[in-house]
Amino acid sequence: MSEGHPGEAELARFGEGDKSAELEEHLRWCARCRSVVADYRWLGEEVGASLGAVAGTVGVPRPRWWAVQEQLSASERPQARRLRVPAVASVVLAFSLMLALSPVVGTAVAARTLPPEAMVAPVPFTTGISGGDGISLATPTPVISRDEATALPTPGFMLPPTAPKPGT
Amino acid sequence: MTHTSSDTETIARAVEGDEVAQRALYEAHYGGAFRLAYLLLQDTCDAEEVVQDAFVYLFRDLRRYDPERGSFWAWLRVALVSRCRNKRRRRRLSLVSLEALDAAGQVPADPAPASDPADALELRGTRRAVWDALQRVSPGAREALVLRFYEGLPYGEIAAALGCSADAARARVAHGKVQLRRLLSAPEEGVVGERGDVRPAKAG
Repeated sequence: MSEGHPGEAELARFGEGDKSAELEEHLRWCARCRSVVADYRWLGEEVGASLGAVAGTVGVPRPRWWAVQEQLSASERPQARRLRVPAVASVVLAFSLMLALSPVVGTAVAARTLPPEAMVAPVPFTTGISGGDGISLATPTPVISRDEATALPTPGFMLPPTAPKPGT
Repeated sequence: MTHTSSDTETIARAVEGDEVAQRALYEAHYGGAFRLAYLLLQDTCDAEEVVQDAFVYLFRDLRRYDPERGSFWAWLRVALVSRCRNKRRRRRLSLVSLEALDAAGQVPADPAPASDPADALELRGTRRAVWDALQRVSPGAREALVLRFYEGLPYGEIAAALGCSADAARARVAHGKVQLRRLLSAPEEGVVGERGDVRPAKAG
């Protein structure tokens, strides 16, 4: 309290039910502070009346239920899209892996099926490229013995085996 | 706004996804929501936008509504007050941008000023002075004053709407009244900031 009087905020709070015994005692003998408390009570009533009057007059727009429905639908759509994207991405990834691994897989299968008695000698083959199309002109490869095969330089690739001619 | 047994049935059906019930709930509370938002923002377009957003937010998951914790209106009010506060913050940021443009000599054309309902109501004398002063108190104080004297809420519910304690809610209401009294006794002083400081009003 300044000069024995409570501050404005304290007097305003008193009007809002924040009572203290000390303040009540002060108000018993201080007409000036009683007047301020009365001002604050009156102000509260006037605020209510002013707000009520304006709220009762302001034009309320028509409710737009369709706009609420639209926003609700729009908020559900991105969730569906978010679920689809990982599914599509995993399919694309699986397909890409299949394409990338298929030559390796094919080679491994070929190596397993090759008979131990025969080795396929790699014969240089020419490829004709015409207009971007790769045309393989590989010739059939002859069957040679294991000793002959080990003497040959190690190829960087294995050609698929061709069937031996009958009687060889 | 009272909570009747028919409200309970409507809410129960709306929670279950009944669109007719949802629409009934929306239309029953739309007017009150708009008026409250208008008193907090003093702008009809902003108030309409905020009310729409609040309803979309609540209807997105109506199952969160717990009747044990309060009425549907009380739940809606919390969402409204929060959105009004966010709207005011965004407005303040855009005003800062306008001030920067003004300083750079690039002031955009002013939109037509919205009509003041106080004019339509022909508020006069003290009531007009109180309304004008309410527009100049700090936003936080105006929130508390609107909830206390327009909604007639006890401090516990004001605290729930503002996200503070009941004591803090009481202090905000008292602080708002102090600002009002100061403005009414010296109207030429201008606007009151969040900390109760009075700043000169901008020249019209």
